Amino acid sequence: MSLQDSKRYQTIGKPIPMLGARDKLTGTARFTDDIRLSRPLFVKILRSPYPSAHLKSIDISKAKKSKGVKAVITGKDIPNSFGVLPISKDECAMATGKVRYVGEPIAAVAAESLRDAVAALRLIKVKYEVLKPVLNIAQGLKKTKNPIHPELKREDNIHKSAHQSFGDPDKGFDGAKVVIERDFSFLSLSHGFTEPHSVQVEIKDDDELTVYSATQVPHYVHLALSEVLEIPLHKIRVIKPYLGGGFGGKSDPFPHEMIAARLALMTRRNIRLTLEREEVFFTHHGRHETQVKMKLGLDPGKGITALDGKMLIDGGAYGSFGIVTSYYNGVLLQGPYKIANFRFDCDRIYTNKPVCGAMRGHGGVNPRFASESLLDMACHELKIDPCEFRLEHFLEKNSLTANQFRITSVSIKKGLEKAMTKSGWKKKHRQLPYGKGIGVACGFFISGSALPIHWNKIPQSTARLTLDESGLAVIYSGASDIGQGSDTVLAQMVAEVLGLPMGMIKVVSADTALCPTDMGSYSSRVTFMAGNAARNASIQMRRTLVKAACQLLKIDEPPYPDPGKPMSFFRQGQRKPDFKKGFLGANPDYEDGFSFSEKKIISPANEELDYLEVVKKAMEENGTLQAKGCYLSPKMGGTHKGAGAGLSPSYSFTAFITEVDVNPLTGKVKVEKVTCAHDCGVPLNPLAVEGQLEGSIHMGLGQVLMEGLRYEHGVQQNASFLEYKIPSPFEQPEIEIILPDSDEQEGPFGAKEVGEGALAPFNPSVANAIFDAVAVRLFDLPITPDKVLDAIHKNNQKKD
Amino acid sequence: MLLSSFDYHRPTSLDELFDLIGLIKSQNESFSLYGGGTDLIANLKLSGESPDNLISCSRIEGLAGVRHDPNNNSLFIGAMTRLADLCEDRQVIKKCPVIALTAKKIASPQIRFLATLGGNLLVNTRCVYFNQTELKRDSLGSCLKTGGGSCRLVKSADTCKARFVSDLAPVLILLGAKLHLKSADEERTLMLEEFYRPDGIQKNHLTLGEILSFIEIPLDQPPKILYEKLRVRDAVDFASLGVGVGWNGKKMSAALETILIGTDPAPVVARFYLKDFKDIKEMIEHASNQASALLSPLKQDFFPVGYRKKMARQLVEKMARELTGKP
Ligand SMILES: Cc1cc2nc3c(=O)[nH]c(=O)nc-3n(C[C@H](O)[C@H](O)[C@H](O)COP(=O)(O)OP(=O)(O)OC[C@H]3O[C@@H](n4cnc5c(N)ncnc54)[C@H](O)[C@@H]3O)c2cc1C
Repeated sequence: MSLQDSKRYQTIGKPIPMLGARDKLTGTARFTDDIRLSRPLFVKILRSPYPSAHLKSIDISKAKKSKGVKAVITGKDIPNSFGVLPISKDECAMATGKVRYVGEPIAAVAAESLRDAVAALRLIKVKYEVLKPVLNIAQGLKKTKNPIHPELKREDNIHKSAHQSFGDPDKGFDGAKVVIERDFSFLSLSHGFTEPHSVQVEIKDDDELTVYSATQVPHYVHLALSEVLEIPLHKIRVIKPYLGGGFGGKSDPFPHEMIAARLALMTRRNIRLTLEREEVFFTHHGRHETQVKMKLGLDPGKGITALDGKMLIDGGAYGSFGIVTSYYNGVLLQGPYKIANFRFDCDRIYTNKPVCGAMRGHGGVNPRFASESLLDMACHELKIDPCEFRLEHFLEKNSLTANQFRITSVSIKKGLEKAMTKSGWKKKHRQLPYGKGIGVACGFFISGSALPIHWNKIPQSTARLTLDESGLAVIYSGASDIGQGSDTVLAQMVAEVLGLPMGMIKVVSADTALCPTDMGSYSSRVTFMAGNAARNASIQMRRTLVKAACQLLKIDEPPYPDPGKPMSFFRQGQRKPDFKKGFLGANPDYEDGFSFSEKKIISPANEELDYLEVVKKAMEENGTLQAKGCYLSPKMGGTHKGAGAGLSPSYSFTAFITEVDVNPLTGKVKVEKVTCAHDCGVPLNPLAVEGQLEGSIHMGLGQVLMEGLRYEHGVQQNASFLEYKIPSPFEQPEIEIILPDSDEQEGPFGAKEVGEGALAPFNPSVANAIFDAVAVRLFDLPITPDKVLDAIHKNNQKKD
Repeated sequence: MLLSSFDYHRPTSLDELFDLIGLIKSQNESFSLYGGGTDLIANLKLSGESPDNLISCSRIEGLAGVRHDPNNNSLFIGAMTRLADLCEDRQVIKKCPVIALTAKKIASPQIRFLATLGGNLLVNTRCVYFNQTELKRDSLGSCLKTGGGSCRLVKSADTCKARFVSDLAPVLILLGAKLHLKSADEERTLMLEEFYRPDGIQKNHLTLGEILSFIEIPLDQPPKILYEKLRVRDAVDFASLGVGVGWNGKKMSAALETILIGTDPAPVVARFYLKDFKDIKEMIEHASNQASALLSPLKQDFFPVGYRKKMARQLVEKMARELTGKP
């Protein structure tokens, strides 16, 4: 399907305001902390002031007796460890024996008021034996007898080493016209979401928990709570209320969730726990501080002849998504260009700092900065146009990358061409006056991970749809709307297939008791996976209605080419795709000859039935109507170690042309204009797509120009929104968006990812534009004015 | 972050205020006055401590608003005038537009709706070691300003090195502003330029129980003034460096004045008389070098020390050229 085809749709491809936007705008939306449970106890957490120390003793006796206090717990009350990845469950809710970062929970108080809890916290006496901390990558690589995690049985603090190699990189470099190698560095970043982490626990019948949590993945919280607290899954219900931003920072199960649930069980009282902004910074799980050494070989005719990256990432004290991050640092370099000879090594280092994890563009952002900078440098050296070079060497549709990613649909070439025209690239590049510059960079990203974190064969997404005589269609999904509009996209699927206005769809989502299991909102998977599940459920429902319509019209049911579809569809496939025969799992179409529109159902012979009449007819046989749809990625990928990392049923592609103004007196960079072409397949909701792209640019802008956590002796120095610099509206550039549609047969109505992919290539597009403006290259983010000015001065000295 | 508990008062007249202060003092309790509270309350939250009494001055009659006094041709601005009102005030815009322009560079629109001019002139000094939560102070150790024995930035320092950050102070000093201070038994005036002390803790000459009531600005022969602010973002951020430059070429003794904030515990003031130099160019060159030399920025800001010094020189040079019309 193309964008042209989308014109025949009623809801798909239309700019639809987000469900819930009105509630948020008028302040009536209830976020986790807004929920009012009966007589809750308030919880405060005592946190470590030291980056590394033995806990000699914790005396809670005074705190326990303090006014209003109902319970005080420490690490030994929640001894089981957890972690989002089953392969690195290395974290406990509160430290036991040893603290590993400043801000790590040590004890928690539940009291009748927040004030009582704070007062009691001050009465807890902890004796520490302060240890020498590991504060950066270099220290973490050193041999030691006392690693942060002795259970790994290593003599250093390396958590994970990921390596892959394809083709013959050394030969590739030998055959290059130019080879460039550089070192890059990147500070750790915080997500900066508006709503702090928050959890409330309601307890019934002494052991039934309803956990309201600001989480991107209710399912993981559900599993972790059950395992850590040793209570059966059916006794726990996790609900995500309205959520104010996640960006990866709410996708792990967290200590505060375990603490709140344990305290509810202990006290038999409802519990309320909301983190302060500083605690959000401690909880962190943001982007890893990263060092990159990268080498790129280029030949104008052959393309990128080889790429070799060595990444070191500072993981902080625990695992989180780190093993995945380590692989993503490499594998997300396999596009958007053909690169036959490719190698990477990434080591994740444990340090005594807050934990790093997944953040928008997960793992792929920093290496992308390096590779796109090197590409720009190589083009400059060979005096070739960096846009023209890219146009020649993009991955092609229906192909496999060296590491066996299936590239199904691509329209980045068209996108970059349009961006070149719209931005006036040809007239500007290398021709603007000193101080003004234009730069290009491209990237690609997964539309959900094909290999789920928990290795089982259960579909990654299931959606359930019900209909009754009111005509209201209710779609149930475990996907978690974190502000990105996942509820809206699910409603759009139903509205389109059943020909209903958006107002007749209700979305019940992110509630583990009511909704089918879903892997939640991360890795840009919801539209593709939950969307496909919702679409399949809707098609299933449509077949029920078509059958009833046929009964009313006394005609035969249409013959479906594959009656098994859509239920079984995505389960098919074998590892090696045969692109000639078609994709592994092209999307099922309706193929029924009927038209569903504006609450009318029209037969192939143009007989018109009222939608409600048909629903009633169908209910005669079935009672309330129910349908279900699933999504499970087809089998794909190679058999090498780590082959599952970065595997996705489809990939988005992005091209940026960015224009900057650099003030040569102050070094201040102002990003003036951004032309962004993003191939997200068919943009299901252009309004939402634009919002995601503008947000990605804003977030990239922060990283490239100002954001970064600064540490002194393991202590975050800028853990507040005043000192951690997220760009203000004044910094946001003018943005022009181009949506070069592509034909993604496996995506729901042709859609692919749009939430994350655009961030990574934005950053190097700014750096490349800075080079065009003032002829200096910056290799360390953020690119602050002082660095720019220094570089300009050094450059001038060289010339003198 | 929770505020510790305190008694809250909101007097509506100066008499009521001084009675209240008298009563509080007689009970040996502590107190703080405040205007919009955008600085004070945030600092109290961070410290986890509070005086026994907080007294809001924002409802005291007659302390907000702008009045032109024709007798001695000066502008009286009430200390409780909100920055948002200052930005829009017609007399201010007409007679001293630089005040409105500078006020607009402070914090964010939301904060300016609460923040007052008085509060701005009395805004607390800032430092990475001071503007931290309890836990951070525990981690990093306390400093002079948080009750510790030594400065974390300069080990040997015997006074606090926190930065002075009021954006309006340089502009008002250049305008020759005078402060009207009032206590139960005294009323006095003080030149703003003489008000500040180079100490991040003993910041100024305000005494306990004294209220800043008015700021008086003489309007005869005001210098031409520019103010520029170096900061990371064009909203919200405090000055990493604030540069005010005034030029009075009309006077018999033409002079260039520079006032820099954001680096040292008090405004750094320097004055250059044209008669002491060969020409304007030489004066500007000297002034910009001095601007940089007189500053002692420390490692307590987003921008490195050297960069802020460099910027001081460049901004002064650029602004002085603009003011004197000597490009
Ligand atoms: C996010 C943020 C950004 C900010 N950015 C800036 C900035 O860019 N530039 C800047 O200069 N400031 C900035 N501020 C600080 C502050 O908001 C402003 O300086 C503001 O003008 C202070 O006014 P206020 O009335 O709120 O002060 P308050 O907090 O009410 O008072 C400040 C101090 O003055 C004392 N005080 C107030 N009024 C009187 C009076 N009449 N008599 C005696 N004592 C008095 C108080 O006791 C207190 O010590 C920022 C604050 C925040 C939170």
